[in-house]
Amino acid sequence: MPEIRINTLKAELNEQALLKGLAQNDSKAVETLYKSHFTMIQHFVENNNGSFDDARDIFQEAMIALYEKVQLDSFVLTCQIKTYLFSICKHLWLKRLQQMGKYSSPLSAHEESISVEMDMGQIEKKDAAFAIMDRSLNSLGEPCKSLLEGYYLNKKGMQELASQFGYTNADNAKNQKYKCLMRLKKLFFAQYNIGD
Amino acid sequence: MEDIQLLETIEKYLSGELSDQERAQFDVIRQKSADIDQMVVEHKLFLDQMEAYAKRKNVAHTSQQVFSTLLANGEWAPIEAAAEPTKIIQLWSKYKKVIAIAASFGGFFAIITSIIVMYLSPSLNGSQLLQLSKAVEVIKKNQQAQGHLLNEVKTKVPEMQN
Repeated sequence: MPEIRINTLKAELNEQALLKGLAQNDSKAVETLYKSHFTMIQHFVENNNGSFDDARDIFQEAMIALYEKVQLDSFVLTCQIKTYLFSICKHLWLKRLQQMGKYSSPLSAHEESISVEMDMGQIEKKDAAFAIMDRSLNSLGEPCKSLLEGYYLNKKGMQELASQFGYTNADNAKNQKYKCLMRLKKLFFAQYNIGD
Repeated sequence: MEDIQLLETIEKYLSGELSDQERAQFDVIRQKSADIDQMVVEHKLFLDQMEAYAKRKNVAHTSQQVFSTLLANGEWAPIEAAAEPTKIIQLWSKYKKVIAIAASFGGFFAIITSIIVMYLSPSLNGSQLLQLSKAVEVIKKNQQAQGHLLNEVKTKVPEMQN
């Protein structure tokens, strides 16, 4: 009996470590998640009107959703990663089928699943914010987009960016970056509403 | 130019790059100026969104790369070759409409053909029918006559035996 408890504890610790790895963008953790769970999703999607590529897309989306879930302040995973991933994939695939007008009968599934409606609501808000930032950055045009990505996303220094983009000095690059940032903020806040 | 410096200070303030003294000074400025306070709040929100955007993009990139590597290493295979029945089902769902149209054309042609056959087959007219019934009448009379003859023979046979 104690041995079983120790094993469950170990498994839980492993799961926690995996989630932490995912949050830190550790490719080893991501690889473990793929190796342990992708086949299950592949079978589920292929048994329900989907292709291998559909399974790939759905799993990718579910990984992002799991990542966003871990980022939430209120994050607690009350079930195994396997069950959670499966539940998200089921939710996403059902939605996809309905959008394509292909959904007619209950999905065939052999895995247990939990309700993820609440979580998906929160995650969809994050999806929306991500999409707004993506659109805003893409509509900036070059060199603004790359300049801001270099500074804010890839954390490069002003001097490095100046030489990369061919500005004569860092001050000019900084000036340009400021103008670009103002444009981006304007674009972003025109679409982003707090509390939405 | 002033705005650039202000924004730079706000970014340093938010990222914790200001010294304790500078930070305290800036806090006083924030308290005095509602506009600057608002700029700080807004910029923090924006930078948080940028950060979330960047991190998520990186995770998505890692996830895609890991998948491609594992797929290339033969970790999984799309089950296409192994699944003949699915192919048939795929063909069926692909050509369902075509098959339905073909089937209804088939039915339509069957009906047309039977109508044509009905019209073209030879029909009997009134006089032919009359001739036929007369002929049948003759046959009937002959049969009756033969029946009487047979009866006569029957009644006579037992007498002969006795």
